[in-house]
Amino acid sequence: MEDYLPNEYDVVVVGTGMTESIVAAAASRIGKKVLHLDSDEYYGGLWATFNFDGLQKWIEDLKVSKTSTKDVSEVDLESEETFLKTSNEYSTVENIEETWYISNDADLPVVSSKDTQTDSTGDGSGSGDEKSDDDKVEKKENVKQWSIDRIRKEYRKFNIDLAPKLLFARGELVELLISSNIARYAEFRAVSRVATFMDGKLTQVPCSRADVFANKTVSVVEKRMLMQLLTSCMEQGADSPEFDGFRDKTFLEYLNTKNLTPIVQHYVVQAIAMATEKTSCRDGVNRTKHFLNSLGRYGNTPFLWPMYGSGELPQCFCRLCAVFGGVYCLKRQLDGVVIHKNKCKAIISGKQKISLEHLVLGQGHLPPEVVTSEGEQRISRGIFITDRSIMQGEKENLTLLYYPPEQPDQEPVTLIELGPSTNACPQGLFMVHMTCKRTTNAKEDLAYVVNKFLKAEPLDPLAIRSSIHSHTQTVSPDKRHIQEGDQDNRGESTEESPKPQVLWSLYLNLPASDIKLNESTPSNLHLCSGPDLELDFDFAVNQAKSIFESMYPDKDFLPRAPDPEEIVLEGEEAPGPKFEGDTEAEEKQDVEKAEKED
Amino acid sequence: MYLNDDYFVIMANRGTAQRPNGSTQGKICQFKLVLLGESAVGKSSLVLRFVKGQFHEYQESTIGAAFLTQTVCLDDTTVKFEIWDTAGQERYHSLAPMYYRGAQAAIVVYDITNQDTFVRAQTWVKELQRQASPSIVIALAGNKADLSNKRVVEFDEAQTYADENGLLFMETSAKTAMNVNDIFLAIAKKLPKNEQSGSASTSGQGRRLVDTEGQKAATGNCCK
Repeated sequence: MEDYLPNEYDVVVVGTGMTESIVAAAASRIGKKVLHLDSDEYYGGLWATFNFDGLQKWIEDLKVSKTSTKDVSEVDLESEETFLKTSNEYSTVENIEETWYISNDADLPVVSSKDTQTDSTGDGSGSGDEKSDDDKVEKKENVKQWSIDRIRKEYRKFNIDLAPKLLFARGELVELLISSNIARYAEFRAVSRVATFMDGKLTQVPCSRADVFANKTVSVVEKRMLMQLLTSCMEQGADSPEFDGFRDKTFLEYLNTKNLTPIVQHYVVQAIAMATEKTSCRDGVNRTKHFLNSLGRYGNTPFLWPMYGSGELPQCFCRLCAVFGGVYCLKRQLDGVVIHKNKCKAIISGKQKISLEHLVLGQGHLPPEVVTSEGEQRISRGIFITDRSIMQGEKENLTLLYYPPEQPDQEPVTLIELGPSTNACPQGLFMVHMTCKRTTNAKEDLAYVVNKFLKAEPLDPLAIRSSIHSHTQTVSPDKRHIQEGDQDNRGESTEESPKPQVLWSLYLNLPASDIKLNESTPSNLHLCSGPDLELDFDFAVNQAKSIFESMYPDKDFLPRAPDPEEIVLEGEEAPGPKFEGDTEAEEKQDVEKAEKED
Repeated sequence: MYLNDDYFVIMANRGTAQRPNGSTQGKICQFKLVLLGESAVGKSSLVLRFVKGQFHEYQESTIGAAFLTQTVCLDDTTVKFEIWDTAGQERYHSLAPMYYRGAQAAIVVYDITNQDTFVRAQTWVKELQRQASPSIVIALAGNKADLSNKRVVEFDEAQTYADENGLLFMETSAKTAMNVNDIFLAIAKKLPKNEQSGSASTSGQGRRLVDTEGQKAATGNCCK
């Protein structure tokens, strides 16, 4: 059953997370022989993106322990070799809680069948009067109704991220994708708006210079103030004398000296720097700079989102690794590592002992003996399928919202809302991702933000029925929802659009991303962390770079891969398009100079 | 610089547009085509034959080729194929889903001298029908047709299977070039060439290509 793999490599990589995949690609790219394994049958580990079906299977599988049962006595060791069994305890996902807020088809009101009848008679008469038009509207609404069955049936139209991340348009990953020519494997969408919560409602943050000047909520004086501040962050950077007096102060303390108006301060702190009260001046300036730096390259905001989800990106690097000869084997368990004279010499996988020069391990495959700190940066995640955007606009938006804590014991939450055009969900739905640092568990940590922006209560099928029946035909479906939503607005502005109804939610806690290895860990064993708390992938890119540099200090990190047009194969005569539908001519050119390569 | 649709493929600026002679006024459609099939059935050989007109008896697994491109002219339309090879990831059944993501066409290849590869080809067809875009055009290629004295998969059997599943079908030989161009041409004919799919997107749902620093090369490459 188990595939037999060649058993000698320069680099063995275990786990197909982001960092592991970048390292694998980089090693393969410079001609190293790479074996890349994953115990799962999918790519990405905790960085994966699943369709709805795949996610359900993932949740099921978490209940099954995958720890190796291999015993040291079964391992064929030579003298002075020791065997360290690997463990998946450092990639444990906790507090999974999946909830449906809608019903099965069977429990839905039978209105739709009644409407079908109305409709068929309507078709027969072909009448165009108002009543029949209204019937059609109502029927359409019923057809659109989402049930558990329908979501399950359309599972392929969902792409659900375990660790959703954005790319800064001038961040490390975009630069790497371009310089390595891996960019051609992936497609992106720009985040179309950065939102912020101000004066009790969500507003779009003006990002570009044009946006700032077109913005009507900010006065001319404030605009100048804002531009001046941004320019000094941008041009001078954190080392500028401008910030001399604030080396050990917070960003907020610095801003307070600038006599900014509350609105301007709000934009800078909460939307641009995404800072809290504790953020240092240096970090705040750097974050502001990073944000501004990435503006104007792709789209209206500094951010890009990978089509089909973040889980595509590790796969892009894996493909490059494979293109340069890397060997891929999923569903292949790592049982342990063989240490000889404080060096990793081999891995044990099933019946095979596979030798290596360097071993790159995802954090789900570490021998507990080498771990000194289990880390503290744990992550709380919430994923929600909703029926509308948190901030309805004329067109579909891809929204980023940073929401700072309301209470001292809360953590700031980043919210990413994806629409159907990203392939995250089918037409008519939205996918909301919330992420924050874990303090208790995902559901509790995120509750204050969920309650603020979403309606996460079961949708009673009877309530739907009564609303469909009781409303007069002149009330449009939208208004109907507004009336329902108002009850939840607790006296807030009645103009505000209703909160999105949650159809389904999933809470989970991801493991810590800052595990540390102890000093005595063999120097050819390299740890790749799981997803971190930051918004982007830069942590993974930088970690991969430093692993690669420690392995091959004098080699280029992912030099540009050739374009199709540049590929010249051995024995090539006249490259370029030859296709004219003329096969006879080509047959004559047929050269059989099969030369065995040494 | 950015496109108004917020949809991007990040690319380095390499203005290497392939505009076939005499067709500058015609429509150019770009499609992503993926090859699938068991190891050693001749997937890479088919591509090499089609793109470079070459055949190597002892073809090593393709190193360094992310994908190759070739154009086919159909009346007023130039069809540019971006042909993706598995890069060996199928060997241990570890092909990444991003491989067939957004593919508009696929050639599922088997070896007419090996029954197992035909069985495996049917698994790939099922996989595509389950995972790939619903509108994908699938062609079945019975390769190594030059070795008909060793044939184990009958032509009629494969034809029947292809008909039942709505696949294009041809027996091919990368070695003699038999039906190689023809199968690509047949796919090109079957692909929808409307504005949407034709505007050089790999996934058929948005435009492709954006430059990095707003240089003019952007328009030359594959956007119309």
